[in-house]
Amino acid sequence: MAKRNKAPRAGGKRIGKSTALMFVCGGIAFVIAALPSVVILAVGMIPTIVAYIIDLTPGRYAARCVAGLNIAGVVPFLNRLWTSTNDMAAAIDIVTDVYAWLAFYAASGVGWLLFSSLPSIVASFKTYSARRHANALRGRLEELREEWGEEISGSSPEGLREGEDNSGIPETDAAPA
Amino acid sequence: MNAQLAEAAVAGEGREDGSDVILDEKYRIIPSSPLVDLGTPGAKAYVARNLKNPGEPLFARICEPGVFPRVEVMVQLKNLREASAIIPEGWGPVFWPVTGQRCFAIIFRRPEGGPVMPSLSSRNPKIDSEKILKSLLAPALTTLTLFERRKITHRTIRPDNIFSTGPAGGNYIFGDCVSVPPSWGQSTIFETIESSMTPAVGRGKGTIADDIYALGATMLFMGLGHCPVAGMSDRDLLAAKVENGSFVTLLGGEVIPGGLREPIRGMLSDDPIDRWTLDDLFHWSSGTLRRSARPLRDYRTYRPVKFRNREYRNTRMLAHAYGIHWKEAAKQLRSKEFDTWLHRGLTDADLVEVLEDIISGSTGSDGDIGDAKLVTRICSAMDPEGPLKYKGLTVMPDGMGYALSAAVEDGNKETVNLVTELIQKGIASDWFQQKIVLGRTDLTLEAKTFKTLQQFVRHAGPGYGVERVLYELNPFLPCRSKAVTSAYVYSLRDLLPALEKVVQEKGSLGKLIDRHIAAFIASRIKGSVDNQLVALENTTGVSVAAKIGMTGLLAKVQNEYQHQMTPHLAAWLVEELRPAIARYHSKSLRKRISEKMDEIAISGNLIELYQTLSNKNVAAKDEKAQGRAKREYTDSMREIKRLESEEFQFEAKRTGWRIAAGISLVIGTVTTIGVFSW
Repeated sequence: MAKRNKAPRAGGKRIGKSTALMFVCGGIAFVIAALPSVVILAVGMIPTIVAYIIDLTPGRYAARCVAGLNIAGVVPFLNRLWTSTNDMAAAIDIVTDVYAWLAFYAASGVGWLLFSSLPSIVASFKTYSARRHANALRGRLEELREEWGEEISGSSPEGLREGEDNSGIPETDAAPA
Repeated sequence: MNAQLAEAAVAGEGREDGSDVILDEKYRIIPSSPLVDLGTPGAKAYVARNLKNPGEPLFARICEPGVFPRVEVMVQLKNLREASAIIPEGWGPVFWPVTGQRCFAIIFRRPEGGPVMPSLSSRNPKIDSEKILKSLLAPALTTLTLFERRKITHRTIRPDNIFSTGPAGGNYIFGDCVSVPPSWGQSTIFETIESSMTPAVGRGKGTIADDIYALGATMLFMGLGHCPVAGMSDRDLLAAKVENGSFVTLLGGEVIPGGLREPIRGMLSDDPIDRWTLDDLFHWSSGTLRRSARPLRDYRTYRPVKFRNREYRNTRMLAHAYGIHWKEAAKQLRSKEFDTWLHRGLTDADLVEVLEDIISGSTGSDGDIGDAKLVTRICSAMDPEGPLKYKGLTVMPDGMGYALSAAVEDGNKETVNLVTELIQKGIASDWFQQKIVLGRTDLTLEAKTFKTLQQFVRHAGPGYGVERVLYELNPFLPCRSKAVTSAYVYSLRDLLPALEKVVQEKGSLGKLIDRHIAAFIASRIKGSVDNQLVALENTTGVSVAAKIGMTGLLAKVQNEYQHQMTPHLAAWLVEELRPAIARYHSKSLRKRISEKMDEIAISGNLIELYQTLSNKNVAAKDEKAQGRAKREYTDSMREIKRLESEEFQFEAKRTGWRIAAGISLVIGTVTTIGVFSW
């Protein structure tokens, strides 16, 4: 069984390497074939790259937040490139356009804003909700203690009440007929 | 008038005008009018009136405290109108102002004439043989036949308890036989040898053969006009009967009236096998008696044996002496001299063999018990017809119940312990077994009964033990619990009202767990009470479980007599059992049960009280619910801890990041799609 599990894992590694090689080759081919677009993406996505580098949160959620809105800011200029001549000159025109930069960084800024504000709001809401739930549970605990006594919490030994020996109490299902 | 009497009976425990006593709303007994002639030791007689027919000649016998009448015989006799005997008309416990407590009263129709002999020491005119045979024997045979069919005996046939039905020319009828235990107050003159060896309380109900013997003696004294042996002591009389035979002894050297010799000799035969039966007497009366000669058992020895400085030439008397002085007897039985006497002194080789087997089977290593068992077995072999003898206790097999009840009543702990030992160690069962092996197959039922009693005695808890044996052997014995002694509770039907009255008057029963009440209920109730008795046996008397068990027994009684609601008793029980609520864990359940008990305290329903406190479904549900509550408590505690942990705060923040990342991704995707598709 162990051997059977081990074999696919070894094969998988080999496939991973070849896939990576294929991706690298494909990537180089894409860069050569779509160089103007790559230039715009490289310049436009700088905030995301920076965010990815400086982001220390587990799961890199800052980079993810910036990336989504960064793309939203770059996509209109890619569209402009592709709907025009789609050459390096057009690409240079776009990356030297101050409004393009404004769009790139403003969108990224919104992404940062989202990252820095929304989690606090969500956490506050969840904490509030949790506190309410905890209070409800405390109420229930009180009810349980009220109904079953302190021994239910294990704080007092569950013993015989009033010193009575209750063992051997005769039990009936119905009338003692 | 009747309505007034009925009211008085209810309100004043049967008393009317502060002195007269009403029984069953039917008879009035007048304590201020005693009838000395109709009284008997243990039960005085008083004038009684039928409320509906005041002219009816009645008298009542009031049983003294500690004297228990034969209710089982009263039930049989009630409808036995053809019997020539004083028949009980009505009976029951009444409040008796003379003793200040409830006593058993029995109503009889007054005989027209007086007793044939006012006392045994009196001299009376001789009664003609013809008259005796016609007016006493003939109706007596019919009566005893009716008795035999119903398996009952009279056991108090004697001249001062036989009455004439008219001044002259009438018949003779038997007197009362139910007011006192069988043979109570009966002189040993009228008792067979084996019965004479037994104290009056241990003689038992006996058989019709015992009645035939007493009738024979009575006929003899009526014919002679006096009792020649009236002045003899019991011991001398017994010795004379054993040595010379009953017929010769009771005749006392007098000449028997003609015509009576043959039947009286037959009726007074000391061998029960040889004694005339009712059939023999009927056949003799009709002149067709055909009786084949039967070999008589010979108790005489070839050589005498000395025991306690007295020589014995008869194994019956030797067994009697051994039974009384059992320790010395055991010593003698194991001696070489006795072994020598066995082979030289006894003529019956079979008896020698049996005695040798018994002695060799007894090692003597068991101490007193071994000695006592040895003597019991030896006495039984030497005197097969004789009573059971154990450690000085002498009792007939069917007299054990009366002997025990008398011992309990007198506070005779020694006898109580002996009877308990007899049953517990299987000595009584062995004794019966020995008799059955010797041919007494009629004792099979008794042997079985004593096996059952042995089981009861082996349990020590309330509802078992010697008290249970007491009530099993005496089916109509009133409950001897101190709480109800004065109430004379002889029927289970009267128990709850009596207890209710005690609680009403005193506020409590004292202690709830009462061995006598438990045993009384266990022996009288229909159906099984094992569940309740197990609870009583397995717990200490003060525990709640035991109290619930006892309540269960009382509930069983109420279940049998469902109209008997006992609010006072229930209210007291509720307070006694209040701690039992603590058995339940749920506070709301406890409150509900407590409220229900309060309702029961008002209604007096003991069945509901027992069900409430012993319902295993409720207890099991409570147990399960407590388990669930414990789990819920633990889970809730864990959840609160989780909600207030730093991990939860971080998780909340991570959720925020995820949402933010999601929103960002959505905006990016929507913008991309929007830009390219527009």
